[in-house]
Order: sequence, then C-alpha cells, then structure tokens
Amino acid sequence: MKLSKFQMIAFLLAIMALVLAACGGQPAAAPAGDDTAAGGEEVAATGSEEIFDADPEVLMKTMGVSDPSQVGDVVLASMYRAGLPVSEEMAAKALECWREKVCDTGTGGPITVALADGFGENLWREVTHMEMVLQALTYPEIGRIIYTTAMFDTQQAIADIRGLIAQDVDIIVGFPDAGDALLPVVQEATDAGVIYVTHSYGVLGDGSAYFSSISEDVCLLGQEFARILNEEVGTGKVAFLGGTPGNPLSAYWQSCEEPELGDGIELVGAADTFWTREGTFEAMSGFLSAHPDLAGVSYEAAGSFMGGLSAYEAAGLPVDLVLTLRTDETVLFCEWVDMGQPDNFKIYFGSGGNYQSRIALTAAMMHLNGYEVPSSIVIPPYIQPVNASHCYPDLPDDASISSMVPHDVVKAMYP
Amino acid sequence: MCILLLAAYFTAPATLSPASFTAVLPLTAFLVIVSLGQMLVVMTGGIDLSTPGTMTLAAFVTVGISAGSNDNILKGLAMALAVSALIGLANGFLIGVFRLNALIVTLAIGQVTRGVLLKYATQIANEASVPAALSQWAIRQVFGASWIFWIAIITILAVSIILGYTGVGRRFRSVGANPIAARISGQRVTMYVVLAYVVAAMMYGLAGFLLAAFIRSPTQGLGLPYLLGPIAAVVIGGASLSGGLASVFSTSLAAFFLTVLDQMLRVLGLPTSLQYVVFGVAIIGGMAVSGDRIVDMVEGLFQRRFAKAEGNDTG
Repeated sequence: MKLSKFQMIAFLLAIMALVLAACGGQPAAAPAGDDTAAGGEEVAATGSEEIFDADPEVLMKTMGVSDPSQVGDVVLASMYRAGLPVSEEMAAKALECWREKVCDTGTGGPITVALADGFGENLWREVTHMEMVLQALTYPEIGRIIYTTAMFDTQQAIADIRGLIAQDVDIIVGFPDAGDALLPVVQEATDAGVIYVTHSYGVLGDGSAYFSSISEDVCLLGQEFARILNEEVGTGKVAFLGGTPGNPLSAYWQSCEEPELGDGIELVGAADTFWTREGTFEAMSGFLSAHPDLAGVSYEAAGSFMGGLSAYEAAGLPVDLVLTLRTDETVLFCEWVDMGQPDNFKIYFGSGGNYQSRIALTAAMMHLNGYEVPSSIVIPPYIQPVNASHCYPDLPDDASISSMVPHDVVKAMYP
Repeated sequence: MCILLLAAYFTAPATLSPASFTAVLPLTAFLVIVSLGQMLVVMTGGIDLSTPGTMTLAAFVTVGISAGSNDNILKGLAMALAVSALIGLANGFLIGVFRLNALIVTLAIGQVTRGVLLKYATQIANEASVPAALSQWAIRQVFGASWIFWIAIITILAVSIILGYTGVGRRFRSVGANPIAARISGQRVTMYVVLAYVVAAMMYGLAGFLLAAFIRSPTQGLGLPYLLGPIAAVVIGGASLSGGLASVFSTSLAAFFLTVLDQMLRVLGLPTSLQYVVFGVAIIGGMAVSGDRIVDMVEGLFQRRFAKAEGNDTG
C-alpha cells in the first residue's frame, strides 16, 4: 500500500506523539470519545493526533508564558503546530489560500473550515487570517479553507454565516464584530452541526449557542495596566483611549483598570479613537490641550498610537509619558528606537494575539477528534517593557511582533 | 464664531491655548480644502457624497505609488490627483451630461471607489507608511504653522482669485447663479458642471494626500469624518444647497468653526455620544443663523412691510 505524502506526515506525527509521551512529554488529553458536534449531528473523527509539547520559545513569543502548565492542552497543541517549520511549498499554498476566498489545500481531506471575519480589512485581521490558514495546513484532513469578511456590516456577517452553513462547512472560526446580533445565526450553525468557535472577542451571549470561545483575560489586562501606571507614574494625570464608541472590549478593561488606580493618580477622562491613527491623533490632541502634563495613557493598539505621537508633535510638547498597550505593532517600537529610546517615554505592551485564530481552529479540530475541549479558553495577559529588539524595520509597520507567521511569508503577503 | 469662542473661553479655555491651536490648524486645513471643493459643487446646485472614498483612495495611492521612497513623493501626489480627477470626471459626466441625480450618482461612485480601494489595499500593506521625507515635511513648521496650514491658505487665495478675478471664475459663478440664463447667453453650462466635480475631486485628493502625509499611515476609515463636515461648512458659510453664489471666506471660516467646536467638545471630555449630539445641534444652529438666512429673513421682512404699506396706500 502506497501512502500519500500527507498520510505519511500524519503517521509520523502520530509516532512522534507516542514517542514523546513515552519519554515524559506533556501528557496528551485523553480523547473523550465524544464524536458529536455541539449541535448533535455526528461528525466522523478525523484521526489527527495532537502533540502537546509546544516549543517554550513559541509560548514565550506569542503569549509570554514561561511555564506550560499555565495554559491548557488546547493551547499547547495549537502552539506546537504554530511552531512547526513552514516549507516553501506550504508557504506558497498558504499565500494562495490567504488570497483566495475559497481554496483547496490539495490534500483531498474531507474537512472544510472557514474563517468568518466581521471585518478583515486591516493588517491585524489579515495576519490573523494567515495564522489560521497556516494552522489549517498542518492538518492533512482539512481539504478546503473558506474566508468571508463582512466589513463591519451586521447583515453581511449574518449572510456570510448562512452561506457557510449552506456550503456544508464543518468548522467556522469567527471574529464576531457584530456581537450578540449574530447569536441566532450562530445557533443555526450549531444546530446544523457546524462547530463554531470565536477568537479574540470574548463570549457571545451566555456562550451556549456555540461550541467554544478563545479570548484573553481583558479584565486582568486592565488591572495590569493600573499596576504599571501606579508604579511608573505614582502621582499624576492619566487618560484612557478606547476604540469605537461603546465597544465592549475597551469598556471592559477600562472598568477593571479604573478602580485599581492608586490615590495619586488622577484619571482625566476616556476618549474613543476608532483604533485609527487619525482618531488617536484627535483624542490625544484633545487631552494634551487640556492636560499638557498628562503622565500616563492606557490604550489598545500600539500602531494607532503613532497618531498620539503626531499629537505631541503638533502641540509642540515633549513625549513625557508612560504608555500601556494591549497590542504589539512594531512600528511604534521602531519609532521609540528612532527617538533614541528615551527614558521619559516608557512603553509597556501586551501580545498582538493573532495566534488566537490558531487556537480556535485547533480547539475545533480536537473536538472533532474526540478530545475534551473547554467551552471557554482564556489566555492570561502578558505585559512587557519595550526594548530595541522589538523593532523589526523589515516588517510592515503594523505587523505584530508576537505573530507566528514567518517574516518571509509576511513580506510575501505585501510584496 | 464669536459665540463659539466665548463659549470655549468660559467652558473649556484650554481649547484656546497655543498648543491646542497648533494641534487644530492642520485639521482645519484638511476641512477647509475639502469644504472649498464641496462649495464648488454646491454652487452648481449639486452635492458630492463621494468625498470620503476619494480622499481615502488618494491617500492609499500616495502610499502605494511612493512605496516608501522619497524619490517617488511627487509621483505619488500626481497619481493621487489623477485618480481623484478621474472620480470627479465620472461624477461630473453622469450628473452634467446625463442629468442624473447628484446625490445618488456621487453616493454610487463613492461606493465604486470604496470597492476599488478595498482591492487596491490588498496589494499594499494596510497601514503602510508614506515616505519619511513627506511625513517630516508635513509636521515641519513655517512662520508658526505647519506646511499643511499654509497650503490651505494658498488654496483659499487661489479659489478666491479664480472665482472673483478671472473670466473662467466669473462664468462659473454665473452658471451657478442662474444656469438657464447662462445657457441662453451661450455659456457651456455642462462643461462647467463637469469641471466643478473634477476640480472638487482633485481638492479632496489633495486633502487625502496631505492627511496621509500628516498621519503617516492612512487607514480605510480616513475619509469618513469628511462626509458631513464639508457640507455643513458650506451651508453654514451661507451657500444654498439649491446652487448659486457662495463665499470662499465664509466657507473657510465655517470649517475653522467646526474644527474648533470639535476640539472644544474633546477638551470638555464629553463622551463620544454626547459629542455627536452637540456637534449635530451646533451645525443646525449654525445653518439657522448663517449669513444668507439672515439676509433672506431681513429681505422678507422689508418686502412684507413694503407690500403692506402699498396695500394701505391703494386701499
């Protein structure tokens, strides 16, 4: 019997898993024997074994985890796959699948997976899409990858998921920008036997309408921001910057940070930036006009804070600031290096979190293969101070430094 | 404007600080340039809703064509203006030649532009930067203000001179004031309508180029704040949406008024929801007390009095 290349890879992975388990590697979660999707429709187990021996460097790079026991098996299995080498052939296929809305992986595998993006037209979303594509290509049983973007249109987002149900997809990884408005259609997907997993968002409704959610502990992140501002600012004025008006993400971390701020800290206000540089410029120019002595800012998007620096330049003020950020776009760190790594401009940042789409896909695949997967996977926050090594001038400005997409692939994405 | 400055003085004095004004000047400049473009269109009795798409596409073309190289800045500017002119030509042709509704046409062309933008944006890294020399130029200050502000001043002067002191400008104004009379007198009305949309689009493109330079990395939402603002500035400046004469100075002042108002609301620390409400109410208030309305009101008052007096005389 002649084995195909991908059957051979699957066979080798299975052998490696057995060897690692025998040698004392991370114990694999026992398949639970549950081969039904959340909606109750039977889905055949695909046979892919997971390996839980994630490279510590990958864990550190993506989520700052030094102790693998801090994260669960799904995360370990995801990061193991994220750390696998990307061959030229795989990179070429990944680029093809990233560019096309529908793509055959070439394995002839029976599983169809989809990424249903509420919005896909910025670099973070594009890289996150690529992360999922690369993760999908590590599963030979995945034969087709579909991508949809609703461009912030709720009706389109609903139609996209309906379309995916009609195309008999097995797994939908979703970034549900439209929020709870998607719950009915997500329930439809679940009822139709589709495994729906959200990433980078939190929990839709009470979480019962779908299989699982992958998110970061945003509240703890806000509390970490407060701890840093308390230590670094001590006494002074601080401000919060959020994204679109009323978005739950910004409101959540801000509600957790505010009560943790010390007595010497005066919160002068919160402003919306729409996560754009233009919006950040306008918000910061408003704060700097009223409070030129602003000492600290907590925000989400590192790249967008370039607009904040423009506000300092426009106001003719020196950047004397402690900045806490949720994400890690390299452009701001390169700017900090260009500014001469000033001591009075301290940046603390978290992880870009692009990898969450990988975890979402692996969670769904593990469920298909009978592993136990929790209904909610929460990634602990990770904050680190900036240094010169965080500047990657050869990458696009807003590339996340914690992304597991190889730099060559990122460059090929934007020739 | 005086009421606004007084309100700012008493409620949010930081709005009037030198730092605040320095920060606001570039934003004023963008709105002034776009508003003057919109003013040309409004003078022909039209309206242009393709402004956000045109500005954003011009900004992305600047980034894409210049490709981070200082040598390609002028090429980027030329292409941004050319693409904008093409959008304006499409608007002008459909509205001027085919007599289609300006509101629908410009909305539709704006949608097409957005589609082109999405396609184009996939070929360059989203949020890629303009060349370093361009971004440095944009923040460099000359006589206490950035180059962008001075370009807006030059634009104001150029539009004023062309409209007021050249044959083309005078004919354009007569076409806007009374297109039927202009047509009867042998003027090429359609050409002037098309020209208005083309020049306006090039001004949006120029603003997109400058905004990209200022913000360094444009995003796809770059033009969105410039949909309502320029129309509001034109109307507050005294122009009628049914066409006719308009004042370059009043429109520019109205653009400044809107930018200062926006800054004042931010300095006050109002939530975004309340900022929207106050901004909207202020625009309606500004329109209600704009110069032409007061003139119309006074004229109407006099006409009624004269009519009444004549009625009494004849009765």
